[in-house]
Amino acid sequence: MKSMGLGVGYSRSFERRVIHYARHGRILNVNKLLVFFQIVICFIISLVFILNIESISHVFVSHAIYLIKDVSVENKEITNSIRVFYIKYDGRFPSIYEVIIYIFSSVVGIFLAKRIKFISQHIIIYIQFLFFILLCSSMFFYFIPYKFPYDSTTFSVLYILTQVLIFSFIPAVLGLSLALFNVSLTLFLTNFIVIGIALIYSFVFGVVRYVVMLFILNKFSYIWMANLFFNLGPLLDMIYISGVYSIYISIISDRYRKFTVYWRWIY
Amino acid sequence: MDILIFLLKVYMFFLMFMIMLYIVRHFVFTYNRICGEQRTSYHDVMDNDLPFVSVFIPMHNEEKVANYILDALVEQVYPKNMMEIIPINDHSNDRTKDILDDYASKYSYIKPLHRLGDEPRGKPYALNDALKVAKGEIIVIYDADYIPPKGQLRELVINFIDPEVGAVMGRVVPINTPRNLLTRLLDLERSGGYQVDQQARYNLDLIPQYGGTVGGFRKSLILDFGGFDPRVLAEDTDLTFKIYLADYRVVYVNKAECYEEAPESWSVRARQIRRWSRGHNQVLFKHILPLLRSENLSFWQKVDGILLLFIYMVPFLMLLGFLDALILFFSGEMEIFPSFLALSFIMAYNSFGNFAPFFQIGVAGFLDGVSQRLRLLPLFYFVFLFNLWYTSLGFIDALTDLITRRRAEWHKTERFRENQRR
Repeated sequence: MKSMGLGVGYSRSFERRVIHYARHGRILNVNKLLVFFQIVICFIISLVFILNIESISHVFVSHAIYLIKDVSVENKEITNSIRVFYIKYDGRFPSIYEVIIYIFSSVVGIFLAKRIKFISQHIIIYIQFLFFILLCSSMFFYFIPYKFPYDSTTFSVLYILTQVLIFSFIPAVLGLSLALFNVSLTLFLTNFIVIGIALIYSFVFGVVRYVVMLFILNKFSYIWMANLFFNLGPLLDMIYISGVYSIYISIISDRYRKFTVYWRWIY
Repeated sequence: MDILIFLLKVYMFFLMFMIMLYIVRHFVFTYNRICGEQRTSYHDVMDNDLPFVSVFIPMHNEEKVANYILDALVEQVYPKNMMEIIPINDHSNDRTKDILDDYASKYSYIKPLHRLGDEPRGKPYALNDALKVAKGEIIVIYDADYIPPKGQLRELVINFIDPEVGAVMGRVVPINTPRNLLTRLLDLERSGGYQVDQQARYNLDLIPQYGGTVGGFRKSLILDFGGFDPRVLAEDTDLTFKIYLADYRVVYVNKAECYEEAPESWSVRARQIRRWSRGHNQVLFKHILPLLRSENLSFWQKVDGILLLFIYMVPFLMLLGFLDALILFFSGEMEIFPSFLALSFIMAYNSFGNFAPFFQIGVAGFLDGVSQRLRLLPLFYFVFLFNLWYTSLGFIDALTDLITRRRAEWHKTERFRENQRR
C-alpha cells in the first residue's frame, strides 16, 4: 500500500486490509412494522411492571431475605390501593468521632485524588464526586444531625420503588434502542431475549445491591445514604444496561456487516 | 423555605423536560440515519470548471505534523493551477517556519504566510490575514494535524456549484484510535457526531455544522460578515449561524473522511472540551436572539438551532440539577423524589454520555462496521462526569467573558505524533 507521504509516524496500519462496502452512504433495510411492534410491546411490558409493583416488590424482597439474617419483611401502603413490600433492617446514626473522621478523610480524598498519577482523569473525577457527596453528608451530620429526615425504613421503601422503576425502564430504553436494528424476525426475537437477560441481571444485581446497602446503613451509618442513592443508585444501573446493549450490538455488527441483503446504499 | 423547595422541584422538572427534548431529538436523528431517506452532497456532479481554491492551514508550533498535511495536500487530485496552499505560520517558535519554507521552495502553489512580531496570535486573526492574500473565492481549511485523502479537495469544493451553499463540511475520523482508551472513546464520539448527527441534520434540512476544519466556505460571504470575530473561540459555530442567518446553507459530505489526531491525554482533552464549551457558549450569547428573530430559517431549523446552541450549556444546567437534587435530598424530599430523580439521571446518561446517547453511538459504530470497540460504551458513564465538569467550567468562562468583556486567548491543542521523518 502506498504510504501517501505519511512517513513512519503513521503508517496507515489503521486502514483495513479489505474494505467490504462503503460505510458513508449505507442504511439498514429495517422492517418498520417490526420496529413499531417492538416499541409498543416494550412499552406495554414497562407499564405492566409499574402496575404490578406490589407483586414485584414481594418477589424481590423474598429473594433478598435469603441473603440477610435477623430481618423482617413488612409492607407499606404507598397509594390507596397499592402496597409495597420491603425489608426492615435498622440503620444507625454516626457518632461524632465518625463524622469528624469522614469530614477529614473526604477533604483529603478530594484533594489527594487529583495527585494520583496512575488513574486517569475521568476516574479521578468520579472518585472526587464520591468524596464530595460524603463531605456534604458528613457536614450535615456534624451541624444538624437531628434534622436528618430519613431512616432505614424510608430508604428501604424508596429503594424498592426505584428498583421497580428501573425494571420498567429496561424494556423501554432497550426496546427503543434495539428496535432500530429490526431487519428480520430473528433479530426481533433476539432483541427480546436480550431485554430478558438485562432484566434478569438487573433483578440479581438489584437484590444484592439492596442487601449490601441495608448492611452499610446498619454497620457504617446513615452518613453513606446520600452516596448510596446518588452514586450506587440508578446511574449504576445505566452502566450495565448500556453494557448489555453494547455487547449485543458488537455481536450483530460483526455478523451483519457482511450480508448485503440487509443493507442499501444511497450512492 | 417551602417556596425554595418548590422552586427546586420546578427546576428539576424543567431539567427533565429539557433532557427529554434532547433524547427525542437524538432518537429522531438516529432513526433517520439508520433507515431514513439519505441526502447526498454534490459529489457526483461532473464539472471540469473547478473553481480556484485556497487551502488554509493555521499552524502554531506544528513541526510534529506539518509535513504530513503538506504531503497529503500536494498529492490531492485537483488541478494544481487552480489551487494554492497557504500554511499560516502563527508565531511558531519551533521548526515550523523552516519546514514551510522548504515546501514553498519545492512547490510554487505552497505560499506560506508567516505571522510574527506584535501581531495578535489566534486562529481567527490568522484566518483574517490569510483571507487578505488568498486568490480563491472558495476557501478550504484544515487543521495542521489532519491528513486528507487524495480526492477530498474536489469532493468538498464541488458543492459550491450550488449558489445557495455557503459552507461545506466533511467527516473527521481519528487516525490514532488504537493508541489508548481515550482515543478509542473519542473515535466512538466522532462516529456518533458525524456518521449519525451531522448526516441526519443534513438529511432533515436542519443545521449541519461547519466544523472549522475539513470544510470550506465562500470568501465573499465571510468578508461580508466582516471576517472572523477574534473575540469568539468557536469561529466555526459562529460562521455556521452567520451562514444560516444570511439565508445560505451548509452541506455535509459524509463521504469526505479526513484523518485527524485525537487528544491522547485526558488533560489535553479537558482543555480542549473546556475551550469548545467556552467558544460555543460565546456563540450562544451572540446568536440566540438573531436566530429567534430570523425570517430565513424554517420552524424546525430554529428548533434545531436552539438545541444546538444550548448543547454546551446543558451540562452546566445538569450540574446545577445535581446540586439541586442534593439539597432536596437533605431537605427530606426524597420520598416524593426518587422516581423523577432516577428518571432524570438515566436520561442524563442517555443524552449526555458523550453529547450523544449510547444508542446513537451504537448505531454510528454499527454503520461504520465497528464491532469490538462498541463494547466500550458503558465507560461513557465516567466520560459523562468528566464532560459535565469541564464543559461547565467552559460555560462559566464564557459567562465571565460576557460580563467582564474579557478577551479570550487562543490555546493550541497539544500534538502527540512522533515525527520520525526529520
